[in-house]
Amino acid sequence: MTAVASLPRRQPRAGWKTSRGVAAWVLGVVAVFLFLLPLIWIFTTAVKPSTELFAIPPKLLPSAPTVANFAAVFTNGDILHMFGNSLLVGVLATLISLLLGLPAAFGFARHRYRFSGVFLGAVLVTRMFPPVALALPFFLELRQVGLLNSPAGLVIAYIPIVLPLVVWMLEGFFREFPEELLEAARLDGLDTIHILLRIVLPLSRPAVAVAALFGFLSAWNEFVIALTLTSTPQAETMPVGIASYVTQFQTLWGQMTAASVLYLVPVLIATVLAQRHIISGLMSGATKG
Amino acid sequence: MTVITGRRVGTVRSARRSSGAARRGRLTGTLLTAPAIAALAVTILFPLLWTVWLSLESFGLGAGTPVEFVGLHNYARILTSSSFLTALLQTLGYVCVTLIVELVAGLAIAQVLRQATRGRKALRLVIAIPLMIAPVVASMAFRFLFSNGYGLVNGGLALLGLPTPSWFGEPWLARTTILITNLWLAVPFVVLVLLAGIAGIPDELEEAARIDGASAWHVFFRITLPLLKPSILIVLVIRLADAFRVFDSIYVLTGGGPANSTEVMSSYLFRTMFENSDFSGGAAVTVLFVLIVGIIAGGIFFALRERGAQA
Repeated sequence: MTAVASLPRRQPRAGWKTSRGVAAWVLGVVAVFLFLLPLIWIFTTAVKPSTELFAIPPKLLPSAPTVANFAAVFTNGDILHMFGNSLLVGVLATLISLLLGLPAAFGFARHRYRFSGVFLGAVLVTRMFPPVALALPFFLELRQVGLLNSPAGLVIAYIPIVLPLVVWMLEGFFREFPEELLEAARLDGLDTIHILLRIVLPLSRPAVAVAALFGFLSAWNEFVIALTLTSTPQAETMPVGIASYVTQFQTLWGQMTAASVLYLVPVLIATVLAQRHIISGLMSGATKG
Repeated sequence: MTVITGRRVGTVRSARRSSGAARRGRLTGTLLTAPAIAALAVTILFPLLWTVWLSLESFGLGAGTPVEFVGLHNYARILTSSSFLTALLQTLGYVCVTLIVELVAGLAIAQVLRQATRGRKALRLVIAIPLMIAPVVASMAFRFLFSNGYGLVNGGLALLGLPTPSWFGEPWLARTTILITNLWLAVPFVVLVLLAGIAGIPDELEEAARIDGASAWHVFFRITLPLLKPSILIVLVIRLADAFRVFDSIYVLTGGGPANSTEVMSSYLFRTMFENSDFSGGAAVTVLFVLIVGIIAGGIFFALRERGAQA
């Protein structure tokens, strides 16, 4: 391995033809397979007939793939509510966060004032904040105003998660925005709002899209707050619903995996689309429970 | 880091050019940022202050007693309860172990992957998958894989003629499943950040050391590792915050059991509030939790800043 590493970049490396290259390739494929096993297991279990779910010894692939699990999930009907709730809450929390976070990020980056550094620091520190700490106050407050089990309550509760993320990602981007363009727009007599709408926004579309994607995902994947604020199948989001398929009272692995597949596919597509921005997105604060 | 400070200085200087424009700029900045700051004050600061207030009262759903001010009674109650101390110690233990294992595993995997000549992009994409999917779903998958009888892990062990333990029945095995699940969720992040850091190290440095006859270990510990320090610090700060709030995998895999052996701060807080309906106690736990995370995060932040100032 050291020998391979010490070869200068330009020289052809040990490839397919050497036995060492083949060994490395086989090892790599096995490692990737093992690494992806939890996901593969979800996808193959979702199409297993109920007789093979608990086969001993366990089988990776079903002998007769079936859509029965998906059918069961849809006949129950709750999945449509959950998927709808997750989508609605994620989209609304992201839209509100962009509406508030876009100007804020631009202000923090380009129009500094006396305490803007402190405020920006405070916004970013929320990255360290444990979301479960907001569970109790939100639960009691939303119960008082009758917003438990409602998407509106969840949207409010997700603002402290999505908004700081959006501000952080966009602030970094706006700081790099070319000053000459802003200066020229100012000389043309544009006010800040129009500079933001006509100059900055059109040129920042990719950055805004990435911030929106990660903001959305942080709401889409959130669990503990949704678990706290919802208790009926009509109000639950996907993670809460998926967790409730397998509890100490019931073990509907087939339905759980089928629901998980429906829940994961959009995310996997987004992963492929956003692959180049994943590290920067996660470093700026997408939360993981 | 240096780039960022350099740019900040630049903006400040250009803002000082004319004081009238600067004043207008500051007003604009206040107006632009005020709505977001207000929204966060309402959704974070207010709930938190309200929680502090609640922690000084006696308040529970089940109890028919009237709500009254009890001072620090709830804190005394929580701090002397053995289940809180267990959760706290287990959280600290989990955070330490998971950070160390993640860093070591992340460094090792990054060192191997940097040598991949083919399919670099595809590999990066595959590695990123656990970072994008919900921890709940991943934890569910691991719960299935580790389950008794029909689980794939025990199936594999049986095939090799090894004993097939009850993973969720024994404290250290249950903790192991939590650790493995969270490693799967988080090591990819460590690997990707470190790979980005490694890509920033000029090849010539390691090359020169090798030509001078340094061993591979020597090159790694004397050159690669010191140059990766900024990346490692980023990983530490972010993963520390994540590790402290671990909840999803514990809720799904063990529920804190067996016999509270996998209880952490988040799960303890959740149980206090929503299973025991002890809202004042939960409020006190929340405040303590935020304080502990705040102190540790603050310590790391200042350590980072000092290092940044030295560089």
